[in-house]
Amino acid sequence: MNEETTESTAPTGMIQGGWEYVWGAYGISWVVLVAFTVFAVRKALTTQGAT
Amino acid sequence: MTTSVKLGTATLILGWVLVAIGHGIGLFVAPPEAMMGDVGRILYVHVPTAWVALSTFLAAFICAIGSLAGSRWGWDAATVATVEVGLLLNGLLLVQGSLWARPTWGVFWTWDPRLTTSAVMALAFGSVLLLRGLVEEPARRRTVTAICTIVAFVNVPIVYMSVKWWRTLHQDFSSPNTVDSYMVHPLRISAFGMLFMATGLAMLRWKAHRQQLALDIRPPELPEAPQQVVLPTEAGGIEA
Repeated sequence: MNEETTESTAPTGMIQGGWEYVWGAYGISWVVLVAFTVFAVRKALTTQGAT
Repeated sequence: MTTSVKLGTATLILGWVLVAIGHGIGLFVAPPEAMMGDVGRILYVHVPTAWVALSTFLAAFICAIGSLAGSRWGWDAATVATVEVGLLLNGLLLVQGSLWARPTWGVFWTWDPRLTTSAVMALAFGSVLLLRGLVEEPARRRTVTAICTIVAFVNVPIVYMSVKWWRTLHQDFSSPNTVDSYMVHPLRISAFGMLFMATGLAMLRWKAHRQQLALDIRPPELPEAPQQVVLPTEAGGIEA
């Protein structure tokens, strides 16, 4: 009885692996943010002399 | 380099440093999540992105009200700058969420209220930029941008509250109280990093939009006045 209770509360269903999704989420985020950072800095610098 | 560009760049660099530290701890130091295992590490990029996306749209809403109420063009530039940054984060939010959903829910996408309202939020703020691009006259464009931003913002509190109002697939609010203490630090550092990064990006975009607006609202250059014509008069003198 006790064993059943212990088994049912333990995280036996923990997802194994899945690092490809983790790297995908971080990789896409970093690439997009770096690209927008470069774009924003360049635009801010190039428009400085516009007026 | 002007002060606002320097300040924006410094804020951006601080944001990147904090994000790098927060993500580094989240990826390599924090323990795996009890049920999701290593997939749970997406938390440290997804949740800060969501918090800051909603905060940026709140800033856009405030700027839109300022744009309608005030006369300074800086409000208009700030509105479009914050909408741009918020939309960027909103897009990332949806991609990160899909990549987290696949190993945990079994699908990349489902019409869960939180996901659906987040997608509607992206479409609504994307429409703001689209409509702004269609209007050429600066004063009208400013009004259209502000009104559309205010209308689009109506959905933001619904996105936030959706997990409370409809308790479906998406988990409840994430906060320091709902995650283990080992996970709080990377989550907090990443969130502050993302906040500084979004602030820096918005400042730089505000600066660029303000410069563009200065060109747009500058009075048209008039042709040079014709040279004075000297005509002979009947009396032999001249008149201008």
